[in-house]
Amino acid sequence: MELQKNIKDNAEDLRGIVNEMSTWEKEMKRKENSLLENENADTCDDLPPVRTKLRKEEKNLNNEKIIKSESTIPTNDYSYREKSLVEKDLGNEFVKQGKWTDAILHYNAAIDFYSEDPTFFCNRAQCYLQTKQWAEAVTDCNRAIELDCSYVKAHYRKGLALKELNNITEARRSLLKALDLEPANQNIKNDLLLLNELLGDQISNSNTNDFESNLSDHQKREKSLYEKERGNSCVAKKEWTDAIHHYTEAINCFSKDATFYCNRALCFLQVEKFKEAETDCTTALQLDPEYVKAYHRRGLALKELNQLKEALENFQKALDLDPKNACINKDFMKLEKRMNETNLLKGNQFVQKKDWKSAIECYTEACKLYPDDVSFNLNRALCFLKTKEPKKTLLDCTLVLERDPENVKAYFRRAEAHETLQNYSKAHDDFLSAFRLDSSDQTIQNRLTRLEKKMGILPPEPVRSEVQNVVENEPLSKAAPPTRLTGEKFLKLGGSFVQPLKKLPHQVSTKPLTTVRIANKNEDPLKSAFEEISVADFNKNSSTEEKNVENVKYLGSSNSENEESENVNVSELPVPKTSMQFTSAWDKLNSPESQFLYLKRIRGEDLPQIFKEALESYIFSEILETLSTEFVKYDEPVYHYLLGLSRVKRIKALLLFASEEDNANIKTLLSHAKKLNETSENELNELKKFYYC
Amino acid sequence: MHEFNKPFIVTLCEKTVPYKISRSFWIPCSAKFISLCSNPSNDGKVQIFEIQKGQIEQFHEESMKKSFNCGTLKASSVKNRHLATGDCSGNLNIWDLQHSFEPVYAVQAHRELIHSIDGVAGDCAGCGAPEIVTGSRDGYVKVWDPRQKDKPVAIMESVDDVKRECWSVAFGNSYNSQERVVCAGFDNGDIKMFDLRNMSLRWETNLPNGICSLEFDRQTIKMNKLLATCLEGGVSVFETRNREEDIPCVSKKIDNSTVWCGKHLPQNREIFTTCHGSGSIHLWKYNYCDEITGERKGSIEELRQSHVGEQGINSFDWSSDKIGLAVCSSFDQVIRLLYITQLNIQ
Repeated sequence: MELQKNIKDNAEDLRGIVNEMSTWEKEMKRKENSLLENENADTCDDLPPVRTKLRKEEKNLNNEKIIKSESTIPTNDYSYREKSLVEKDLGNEFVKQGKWTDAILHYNAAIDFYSEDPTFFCNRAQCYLQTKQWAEAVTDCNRAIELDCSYVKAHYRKGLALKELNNITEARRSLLKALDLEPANQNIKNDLLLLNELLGDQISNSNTNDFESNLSDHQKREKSLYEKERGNSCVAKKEWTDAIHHYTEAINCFSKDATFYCNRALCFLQVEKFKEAETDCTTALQLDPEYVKAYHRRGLALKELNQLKEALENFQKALDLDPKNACINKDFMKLEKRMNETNLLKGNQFVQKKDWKSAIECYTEACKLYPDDVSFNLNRALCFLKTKEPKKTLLDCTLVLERDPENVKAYFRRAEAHETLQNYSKAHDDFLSAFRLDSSDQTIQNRLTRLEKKMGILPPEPVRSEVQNVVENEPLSKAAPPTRLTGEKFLKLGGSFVQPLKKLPHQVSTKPLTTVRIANKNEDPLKSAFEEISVADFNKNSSTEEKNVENVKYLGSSNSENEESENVNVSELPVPKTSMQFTSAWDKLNSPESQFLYLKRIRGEDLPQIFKEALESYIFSEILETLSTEFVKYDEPVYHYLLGLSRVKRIKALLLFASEEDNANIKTLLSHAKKLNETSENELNELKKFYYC
Repeated sequence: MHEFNKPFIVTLCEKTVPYKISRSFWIPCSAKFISLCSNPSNDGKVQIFEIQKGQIEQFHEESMKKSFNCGTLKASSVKNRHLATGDCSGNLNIWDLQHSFEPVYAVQAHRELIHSIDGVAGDCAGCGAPEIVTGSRDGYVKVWDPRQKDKPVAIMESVDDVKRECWSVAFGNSYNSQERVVCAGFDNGDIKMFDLRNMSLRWETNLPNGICSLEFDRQTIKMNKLLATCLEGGVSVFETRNREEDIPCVSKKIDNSTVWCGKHLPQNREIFTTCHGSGSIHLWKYNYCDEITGERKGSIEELRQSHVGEQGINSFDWSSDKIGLAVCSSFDQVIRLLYITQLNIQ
């Protein structure tokens, strides 16, 4: 508040300076001319002799007297003071006769003789007022006030001049100041009332019906103003409750002044009674629909009441009325930002809860506010997919891709949309694009192969062969599915799985796919047992399209089998290398137990490497959840996960929006780590700091 | 003090001129100021500018054969407006501005260029005769009385064979018709105070860098504070009041840029500005030593610093007619009208 006031004061000061400069300019020119015209002013003859001569005569001149010269105008010279008073009296004489310009001339002369008397300026201001030179009058009053700050007339005249200059609020301030100094002065009171009427035109208009008694009305009005001033002084001292009391009193006396309500709203804001503040602002706005401050304060109140949208509207209104108000602007931006964040967050929460409709609403809002950020569109695209509105998904994804042509998710989602629309060739293109951007992602591979199968079923043969070629050029898409197979499952599938198909020579892949994969498999001890089969499988696989799809199909149905053979299934999932791999695997694991086992296979230190920048907030929460329930249950070490998570990029942002559950989980984990003595106290403290700052 | 209650330095307007400006100062009792300009070809100009509707407008321009490094109106009465100038070949001239630059006084004052000039007692009664002091590259400091032609009234020269350049001069202590001192600052950091009444060296000291400017807070009172600004960012204030020797000095070092000049606010002698080679202007307040705690030294407090120009500010002058108004000129050939707010500090 104080800062605001200061800034405002400074701005006013500057305006004042420019005004003052122009009057000063005129004054100086006048002074200069009078100085140059005045031929009588002579050079002083009483100067001491030239120094060298002085030295010779020094002995004789020991007691030389200091002689005052009259060539200049020292302010402490009484003769000039007297002359100035004479001029002033002459000026007063002319004032009585109503000869304002003559009077001004005499006051000018008086000021030239002696410039420290406020009455000269104040009187001249009166003349300026009469000759309608308002700006000059204000400057003179300012000077008079400078010389004597309790000069009632100067304040009063300044108020009058400011009123004419249409600076109503300032005028009112001056008049109030004058009234403060001389509360019994009827003139000032009358003018103040007039001014208040100017201020609240509409109010007084509606008031004219009241014929009860004008006088008592006036008295009430006065009392209300008095109470308001007392309230204002309380505000200045930050005594909010007292201020509220005074404003309430003022409203009781006179209920049609918007400022009372607005000021009281400010106090309510300060004492955090936001509901009351909001009502007051609304009343103020009913009285004066263009009251910027009221809009601003209502906005603040609504913001605190968590009605962000309405708050934003209010700020917008206030800004429309006063576009240069930096304070409102700042609040507006802050709120906008907060809303965006909450929208994003809310959207993500809805996604987590699978409430797609609400999520879409949130994202739409966010899109509107932040048209530059495509992540909202991307998220919305996902929601549209879920709500079976693939066309909208298409639109969103295309928009995202226009901005960011390397967005894997956008391709993937668009492909899914195309697929639902049975637009397979386009879907295929998009899957391929996604696949090229992130070739290690299992889900994309799976979807791609599935799609290819679908397309294979559908007649267009040339497309298919083309697809096949492309696919075969990608080693991983071939190799991936078999690696997930366990012996049992393989056996379950029986012969149907390994049926080779006839293949045209040009359709046979020439790529050395298998070698890479075998090397990988050797690293994985779990799979080494099935290596033989896998290799055999590969050999066929590399030349069979259909079989590949079979595998995928099988994997797709493996979810249902999860419950039966959880452990096996988890151990069968590869250790993820990218966030997509992790996410797709994670999503498949629907029991905490399996998630625990899966997570256990990942080293905490690798987490930053896996997630890079793509750790989703719901994944983060789920990891925390798993860690804090399962890991704690089995007394497994968690410190390295926490450390790893703390090094994931953008984790700060996630922590910023972490839910209370998340925070509680982190707390449990930290205490668990402490209990297990996993690491030194210092490191643990550092981690604590990181998560809680 | 709260940030907002401190003074602000506001640039009201600027004017770019096509020549180097060596000095700018106000004509007392007017809205005009003089700028001494020099061309590369060693000829100069005296420009008089006037504030018209808040803008700097040229009022008069006079071409000169020589370029002036320094000038002053302090030795002239407000009405007469005799401008004393020192030029690049050592001439001291006095011009009558009211009568179309009539030369009033001319003398070959020094053998080499005059670095600095100061006047005293021009419009103050009872503080002695108007005099002019010049400091030159040839190492001499000479005091001139316009009533005495061709000959200085006092010459100060070093007894050493090696002459140091005199970079700055200032009058002070001229509180009656007899007392008066001249301070001179030299390129080796020496400051010497000469008593003109006794014709003696009254005090001397040495600062680590060359003295670019010297100024007493008031000339026509018993000498009080002497402000010296140096090369390499030094600002020093000597509290000379009531002291013959062992004068305490308060120093501050800002940065490594030259402090070209330091000026006291005429309306409040505790406040002064310094102009820096970096293009900034610093506003200072001097706090006197507390008698009760028995400290010998006062302190200087920076009120505000503002980056005004791209290049060094080489001259600055407060208006004596309006508190807070000032003109400054800089090496980037810009004249600026400044306004410094809220100077009514207690």
